This record gives sequence, structure tokens and C-alpha cells, in this order.
Amino acid sequence: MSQFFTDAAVNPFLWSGLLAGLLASVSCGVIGPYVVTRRLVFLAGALAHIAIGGVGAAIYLSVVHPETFGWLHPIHGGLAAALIAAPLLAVLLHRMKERLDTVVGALWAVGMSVGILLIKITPGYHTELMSYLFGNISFVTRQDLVFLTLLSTVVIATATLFHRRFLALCLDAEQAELRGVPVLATDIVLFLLVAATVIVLTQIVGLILVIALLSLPAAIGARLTTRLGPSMTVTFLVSALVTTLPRIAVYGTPVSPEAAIVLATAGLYLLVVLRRRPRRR
Amino acid sequence: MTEATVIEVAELGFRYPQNRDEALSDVGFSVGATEWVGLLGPNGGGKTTLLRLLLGQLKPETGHIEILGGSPARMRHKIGYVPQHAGIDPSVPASVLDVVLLGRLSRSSWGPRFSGHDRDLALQALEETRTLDLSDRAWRTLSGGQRQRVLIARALASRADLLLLDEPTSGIDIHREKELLRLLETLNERLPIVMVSHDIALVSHHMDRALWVDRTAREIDTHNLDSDSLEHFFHGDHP
Repeated sequence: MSQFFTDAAVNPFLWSGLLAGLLASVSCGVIGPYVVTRRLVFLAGALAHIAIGGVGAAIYLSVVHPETFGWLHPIHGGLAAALIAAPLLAVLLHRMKERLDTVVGALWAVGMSVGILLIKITPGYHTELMSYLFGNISFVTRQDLVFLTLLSTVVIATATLFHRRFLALCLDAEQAELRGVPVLATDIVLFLLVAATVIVLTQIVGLILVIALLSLPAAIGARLTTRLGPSMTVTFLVSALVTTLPRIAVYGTPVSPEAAIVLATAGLYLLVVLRRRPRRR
Repeated sequence: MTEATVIEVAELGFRYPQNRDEALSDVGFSVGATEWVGLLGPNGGGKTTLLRLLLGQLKPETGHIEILGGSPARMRHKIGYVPQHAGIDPSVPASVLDVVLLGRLSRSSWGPRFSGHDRDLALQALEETRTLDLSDRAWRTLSGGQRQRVLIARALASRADLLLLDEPTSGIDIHREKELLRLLETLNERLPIVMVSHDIALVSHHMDRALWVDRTAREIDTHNLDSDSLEHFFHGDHP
């Protein structure tokens, strides 16, 4: 652990990684509880895997057509794919009462397949996809931090504006509709925020593992609190803890920091489930 | 629609898109401003469909519905609806007050917090249903009877002019049922109530009128209601 702080004095990437973790924890703290209480974990997983298709498309376009798409960063492709898929998934959730899991599962697989296919046909050898699949917290650049800050700001500002509507959807969507809340439109906004948060978290643990960070800290928050607001605070604190300590603890060892983050989160969740029944008050 | 009428239904017909047969046909009735009207009928007879039509969640195929002087969709903010089972996930971290505040939600609700006025109205509604002491309790810890009272508080918090209840006494013990009915009697002094029920004794003792809903709706004499007379209705042999 001490090696991390010794190296951090000369390697700014180590601090960038920790800062990215804290930034992602803020988005995770706000959006995670909505995802868990509205039972959107599976749909959020689909968004993450559809984003892989976007990452593959961005890599392909930037290599094959550099004169037009040379500026395109893989994460932009991932964000675009997730933002396009978000309203589609929201509509499916509302319109398709049966076989939703089948269709979402198919979209999940198709998104990932498109990404792998495009990487395969892109000339040259591209390792970037791996860093988007499994995360790359060790090399967070200044531009990455700016992008994460902008995205997190948009997510938090929008969630603040829509909080009462999201709360109503999480608690009782039928009642929300009867009270005049446009439920589908509100869900579309929520899905767009989930898509943006998935992309923010990609930087920390990658698209494959993102679902753990989006759901487990929020599930811990839900077990330890009786209201959504405090649940968000607990989710943020848990996310901040698990994106920081495991990363420092495994530094200098062969253990992947991204896997350590997810395993620590899962371990913490298991501990909470085993040690604590839901609060009665 | 007269001033004293809160619901006017005429020649109402409805068919679900996937079904060939009509779920409801030629339904007509009215509800007065001080009435407590029961909806009885067999399972699948169309009681819940009728409630959904009154709430504006479904659109009539034929006929018309007027509620509080307007269409159901336009007036549903004036209707307090209490479902048979709350669609509230017990695992959601929410207090009783959070649930009741949903009754204060409107098309113009923006931002993270409800106003002080909204909270006051929610607390008043909890007091009226004698559940104020539960306001900070987690929703998931409430009993079935407590949940029904809190859902009525949510309906009252919306400043409803009409209560629609879907079998509010199902699944609660006899003591809690009596408490709930006393509460509804008190509320009926200022609010009209339409309530789905399967309980003949409840309907005959507490309600002014009842309708037998089985594809269509027929008036039942609640004062001479017993299991024999209901048997006639079940067999389509209307007295």
C-alpha cells in the first residue's frame, strides 16, 4: 500500500485514477439507487453491452476513415450507442410486457457481437477494446477526467430536476401515471442518465464489469436505509470506498485493480446481506 | 349531469384489443355526491375494467363517462384511487410519508423536494386516517391493514373529490376491517366512494347502493341482499 503513495508522488496517473473513481462514485450514488429500486439492472447491463458495439464502431471508423473520423474517440462511440439504445429499451419496457427478457438479452448479445466484429475487420492490432471491456483505471488521462466531469455534472443536474418523478416511478409507476406524470417520457430520461452513468463507470471497471458497480453499492444502500435520499448517500460512500481502497491495496501486485474493485464490492454486499436484516425503522 | 352527480356512465362498452368478446357492454349508472356505491360481481366480470375506465386508464369503445363534470382523463387528478394491492416494492427504501407524498405529485412537480404545503397536506391525511405515528416508518414494515390506511391517506393527500377503492378489505383481519370501514364511513360524510368488494355483509351494511357487474351493470337492492339473491345473479337469473 505504501508503494502506491510513494509512486503517486511521481506518477500523476495514479491520482487521476482515484479522482476518476470518486467522480464515478457521485454518478453511481445518484443513479444506482434508481436502477436497483426500479429493477433496471438487467436493462442497464444491456446498455453496457450495446455500448461495446459503439466502441467497436468508433475504432473502426477512426482507423478506416481517418480523414473524416480521425477525431472520434472509442468512448464517444460507446456513449452514442448507449444514448441511442436508451429510449429504445425504455419503450420496450413499457410496450413489451411479455418476452422483454428475451429481446433485451438478444440486444445485449448483438451489441457485443457488433463490437467484436468491427474490431476484427479493423486493419491493425487494437488493444483499446480490452481497456473498455475490462477498464483501465491505471491510465486515466486529463481529457478523460474532463469528459467524466462533464458527464457526471449533466447526470446529477438532470437527476436533481427529475428526482421526485424518478422517485414516483421507483415507488409506484401506476400512481405516478394517475397523478399526471408522463411515465414513458420520464423513463426515457432515466434510461438516458443510466446510459451516461454506464459510460462514466466504464473508465473505472470496464463495460463487462460496470453492472456490479451500478447495482451492488445501491443494493447495500437500500438494505441499510429506509429512504431513497439517505440510500443515495450510502451508495456514494460505498462506491467511493470500493473504487479507492482496493485499487491502492493491490497496487504493485499482479491483481487487476478493476477485478479487485468488483470483488471488494461483491464481498461488502455479501457481508451486509449476511450481517444485517433490512431495518424496521 | 346534475350538480349532485359525480359519476355519469351511459351505454358504455369496452373490448380488450386481443379479445373478440366485449369485457363490458351497455353499462349505465350514476353516482351521487354523497353516495357510497359498491361494485359486486364474479371474477372476470369486469369490475376492475370498469374502475380502469373510470380512472381514464382505458378508453371506452362505445358510450361515455363523465366524472366530476369532465372526462376521466381530464379529471383523474381529482380522483383518489386505492388499489387492492399497492404496487410498491417492499424492498424500495421509502418511508410512509414518502408514499403519501406521491398523492401530491402533479404534472408540474419538478426538483428534488416536495414543498412545505405538500408535506402539511400529507401529514393531515395521515392524521385523518390515524396513521400519523407511522409517518417515519419504513413502508416495508407495515401490516396489510396499515398499508391500506396509508394508501387511503395518499388518496386524501391529493385533495380528491371522489374515492375509488378496489377491494381494500381483502387480506386484512376482521378487527382491521372494522377500523377501515369506520374510517370510510367518516370519509363518506364528505366524499362519494365507489368500492369493489366481494363481501355481501359489508356491502349490505355499509353501502347506499350496489351494482352487479358481469359484462354489464345492474342495480342490486342492498337492503335485501343475501347469498340467495346473489346466487341468482351468478346464474344470470336476475330477480
